[in-house]
Amino acid sequence: MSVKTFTPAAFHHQSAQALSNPQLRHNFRGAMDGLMAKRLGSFDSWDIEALRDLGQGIRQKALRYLPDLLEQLEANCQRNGITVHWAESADDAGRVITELCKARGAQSVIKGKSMVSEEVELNARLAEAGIEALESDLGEYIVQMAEETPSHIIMPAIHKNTADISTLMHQRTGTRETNDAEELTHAARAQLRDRFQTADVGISGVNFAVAETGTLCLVENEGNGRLTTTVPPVHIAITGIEKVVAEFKDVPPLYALLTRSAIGQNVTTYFNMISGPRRGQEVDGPEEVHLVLVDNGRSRMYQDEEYAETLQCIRCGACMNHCPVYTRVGGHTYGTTYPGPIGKILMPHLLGLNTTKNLPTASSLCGACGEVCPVRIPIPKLLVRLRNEAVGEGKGNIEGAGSARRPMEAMGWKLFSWLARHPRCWRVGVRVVQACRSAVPKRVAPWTDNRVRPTPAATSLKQQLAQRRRS
Amino acid sequence: MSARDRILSRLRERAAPAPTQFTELDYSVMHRPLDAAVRKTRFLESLRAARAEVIETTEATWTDALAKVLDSREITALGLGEIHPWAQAARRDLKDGRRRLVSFASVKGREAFERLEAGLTSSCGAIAETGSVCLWPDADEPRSLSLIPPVHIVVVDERHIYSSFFELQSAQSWHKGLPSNALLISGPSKTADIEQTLVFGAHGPKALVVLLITRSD
Repeated sequence: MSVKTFTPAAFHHQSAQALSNPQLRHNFRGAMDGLMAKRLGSFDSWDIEALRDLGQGIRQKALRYLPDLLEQLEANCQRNGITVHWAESADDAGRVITELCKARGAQSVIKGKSMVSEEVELNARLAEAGIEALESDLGEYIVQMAEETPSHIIMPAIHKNTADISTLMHQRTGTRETNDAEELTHAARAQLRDRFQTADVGISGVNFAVAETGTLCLVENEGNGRLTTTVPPVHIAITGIEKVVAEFKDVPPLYALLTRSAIGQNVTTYFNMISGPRRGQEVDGPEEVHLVLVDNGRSRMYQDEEYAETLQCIRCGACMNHCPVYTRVGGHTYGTTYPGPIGKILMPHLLGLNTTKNLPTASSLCGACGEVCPVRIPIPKLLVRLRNEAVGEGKGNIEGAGSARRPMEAMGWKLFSWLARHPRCWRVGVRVVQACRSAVPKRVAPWTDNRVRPTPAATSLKQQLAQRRRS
Repeated sequence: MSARDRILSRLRERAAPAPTQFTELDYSVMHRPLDAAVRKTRFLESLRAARAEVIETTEATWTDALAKVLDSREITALGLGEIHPWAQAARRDLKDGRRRLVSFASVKGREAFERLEAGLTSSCGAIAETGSVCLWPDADEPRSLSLIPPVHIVVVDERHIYSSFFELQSAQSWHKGLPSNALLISGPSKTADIEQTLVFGAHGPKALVVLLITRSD
C-alpha cells in the first residue's frame, strides 16, 4: 500500500474524490449520526448551557493569564520532578524529543494518542534518527499500519469499516481475517503487549496541564495511555502551550464537557493524573518524566484576541461530528492534522493562508459547530473573518492574507458596492442587465457545473411593486 | 534568548487586555449533591452499566467474597500489597494454599505481565455520578497493580463514595498536591475504534471487580 498524501491546497479535488466514494460517505454518516445522538443524551441531567459557560470561562481565564500560568506550570512541574522543555516550532519539538530519546540510547518508542505529535510529524522525525515509534491507541495503530493519518481527532480510523481493518491486519500482522471487532481488538492487544515492555520511551499527549499542582491529565478508555506512561523508564508528554488550566478545580468541569461532547460518554474508563516520576520507595512508574510545551504558531495567534479564541479548544471533536461538510467529505479531505471546523480556523494560522485558503470556504455557515462547542468558540464568526483575510479584506496579520484575492472579483464587488450606493446609476444598470438577459452564456463555470444557468428576471422586484401600486 | 523566553515574551507582547478584572467564575453547575442512599445506588448502576462486576459485602465477610471471585475466575496468582489494611486482611484470610499471594515489588518487569492473573488494590474514594473508583498508587500498591493483570479487584468503602469528581477533589483538597500518579477508573478497559463497535478488554484489565463494603449504620 502506498502512502496517501492529502494536502489542504488540493481540497477541491480531494472533496470531489471523497464525495464519489459511497463507502466512505456511509462510514462517516453512520458514525456521526450515532455520535450526535449520544452526545445529546449524555447531557440529560445537566444544565448544559451553564456548564458550557463555565467551560468557556475556565479556558478564557487560562488564556488571559497564559504566560503567567505557563511559568507557574513549569515551576510546579519542576518541583514535582518533571523536566519542562519549550519548542517554538515543529522542528524544535522533533529535535528536543529525538535528543531525549538518544540520551537514553532509545531505539523504540511506544506512543499514546497525541494530536500534537501528529502536528509536528514526530514519528517521521524519530524515524530519521533511527528510532522506531509505534502507536498503541487502537485507532492510531490501525492508521499507522495503513500508512495513513488520522481522519478524526478522537477516532483516528473512523473512515475504515471492520472489513477494511480485518484485511489490513491480516496483510500486515497475519491476524486471522474476521468481521468480529472483538477478535480484532484482542489480536491487537496481544500484538502490542510485548512492545510496552520492551519500549525504551513512552510518549503521550496531555488533555489538561494544571498549573496549580504541576499535574498532567490524560483521558482514555483503552489503558494504552496508562501503559505508555507507566511501564517504560522514560515518559515524554508533548502538548501545545494552550492546554494549561489555572487550578485543579477547573479539571472536573472540562472533563465532564470533554467526554460528553466527544463521544457522548459520561466518563472515560481512565482519567490518569501524572504529577511526576516515581517517588521515594515506589517500584514502578517512569524514572524520568518530561513535558514538551509546543508553540508552533500559537503565540502568534494569541496576538489577536479574536483569533486567540481558537486556543480555547479542548479537542473534543464535537464540531466535526456535527458538521454537514465534514460528515460528507471525511477528515482526510482537509489535508491537515486537525480536520473539520476547528481545523478550518486553526490550520490557516499554523500553515498560512497560501495553502489553506480553501478551508474557511468549506462551510455552509450553518452554525452547528458553534452551537455544540463545549467552550463556545465562535467558529462561524472566525470562518467569516478568515474568508475576509484570504481575499485581503481583513487586518492582514495572518500569513498569506490576500492570497485568495482575484483582481476581477474584487473589482466586480467594488463596482457593485458603488452602484448600490448610487440609485440612479443602479437603475440604469438594471435596465442594461435586463436588456442583455438572453446573452448569459449557457455554461458559466463553475456555477453551471452543478446548477442551472442564472438568468436575470425580466422585471425587477422593485419594478413589479411599482406596477402593482399603479394598477 | 532561549525558546522559552522567546515564547513567553511573544505571549506578553499582546496589547494589555481591557482593565476590567476577570469576574470570578461560577462553579455552581458543578454542585450536584446526592443523598447517601442515592450515592450508593448510582455508583452501583453506573459501574454495572460500564460492565464492571460489583459485589456488595461487609467488612466482616469481604474476604469470603474475594475468595469466591478468585475461585469463580480460576485465579491462582493474586498480586497485592503488604501494608495496606485490606491487603493485610486478604493475606490473613486467604492462607489456604489454593493460590499464590504475590507482592508486586517481588515481580519486576516482564514477570508481572506474565505471572499475575489479578491485582487487588484499595481505593481512596469513589464517585457516584460516573461510577468511578479513585486510586492513589504508592510503593505498596504500585501503578501497575491495577493495570497489568487481566483482572483488577478493588475494595471500596461505602462511606467514601462522593457525589461527583468535583466534590471528591474539593473534599480531599487535591489542589494542595497530588501523588506521582492518581487515577479514576470507571470500568474494564474498552475501545470502539473499530467501526464504533464497543469492545471490552483493550490494553488495560479485561475485568474490573469492585468489592463494596456496605455499612449498616
